[in-house]
Amino acid sequence: MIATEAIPGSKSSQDELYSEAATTYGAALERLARAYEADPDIRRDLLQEIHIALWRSMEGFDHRCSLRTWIYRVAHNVGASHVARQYRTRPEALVGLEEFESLPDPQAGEAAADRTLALNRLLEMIQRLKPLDRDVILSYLEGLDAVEIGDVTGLSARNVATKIHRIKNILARFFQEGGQSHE
Amino acid sequence: MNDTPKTPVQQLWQQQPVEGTRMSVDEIRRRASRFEKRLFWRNAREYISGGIAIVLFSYFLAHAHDMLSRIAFAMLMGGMTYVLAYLYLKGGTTGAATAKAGKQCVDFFVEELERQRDLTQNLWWYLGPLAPGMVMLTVSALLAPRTPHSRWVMVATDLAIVAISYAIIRVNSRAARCLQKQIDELRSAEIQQASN
Repeated sequence: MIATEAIPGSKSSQDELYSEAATTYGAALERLARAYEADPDIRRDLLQEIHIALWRSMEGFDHRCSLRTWIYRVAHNVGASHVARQYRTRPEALVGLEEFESLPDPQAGEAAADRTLALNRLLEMIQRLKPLDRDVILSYLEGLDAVEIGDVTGLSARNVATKIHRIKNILARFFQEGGQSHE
Repeated sequence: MNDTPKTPVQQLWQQQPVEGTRMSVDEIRRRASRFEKRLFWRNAREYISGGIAIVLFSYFLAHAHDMLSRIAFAMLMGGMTYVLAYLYLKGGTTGAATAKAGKQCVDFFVEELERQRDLTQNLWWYLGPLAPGMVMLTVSALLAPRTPHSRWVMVATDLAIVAISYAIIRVNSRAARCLQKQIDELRSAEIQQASN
């Protein structure tokens, strides 16, 4: 959590909190925008939308959760709204982790040795997921633990643990990562 | 913060090159203000269009030759006033958006889907209030001593309006059903969670 001595709710506090958030989590927000939008131009707009939502939200930040949790919530919520707008009439275009586990991977077994190729495959996979599952996998990839993921998403610890287990299976299958515990 | 060692995929994700996009607070303020202005003018356009329609209806009311037509235009004016009042009362505000922004993702997403479903489902709030006036206008045209040709034009126009309205309602109903399906999925996941 980032320490701040600014007065909650004041304009200067809003600006200071936003500046700290953008400095510390700017790269994470960019990665997140990349996972929510493949088109570079639309992605730039989405990233701006996330920053504006974050700045606005700081007015209502009440320190009941950590700043990090708040930032991820706001960013995921903007991203989820973006996805919901895109897939409003065809939600079937997105799949859940449960369905993803049983989907055949055309490149299964082939180790993605090249980092760019591996990253592209990871992005493609994330961009096919339903918003909530996307929130969980992104939080996991950003290094949040199960408790933090639960706090960001609102899912129970048990549900998060199940989803993380599925994520690990899927990632192991896609990237032959297997055998590395990370909960 | 998670202190467990990063897996190769987490490393791959976190070490990917980023553009390092930065926006100053002033820039954010400028863009937020531009966005609010855009919202303001979008709403203003709707109110101005509605206002023009009310002025036109009142002109037709003043120049109508029969009582039924006057009643029809009065009903259309009332219907349009209702639509504008509904727009004003139900229109989203940036304040509400700010308050929602930091909600937990499940709650936020369900609310967002419900909001979209209600918007697409409840088309009657802007089609319905104008319908009685349109029906009355058709009745007055059918009863008026005019040529059969003008009556058929009026009936054809009304039928076209009904057909277009029906098509819009069908498309939106489908979208509302899709949204409801997603809401049900999220709700059932919540119920499963609670029972576990």
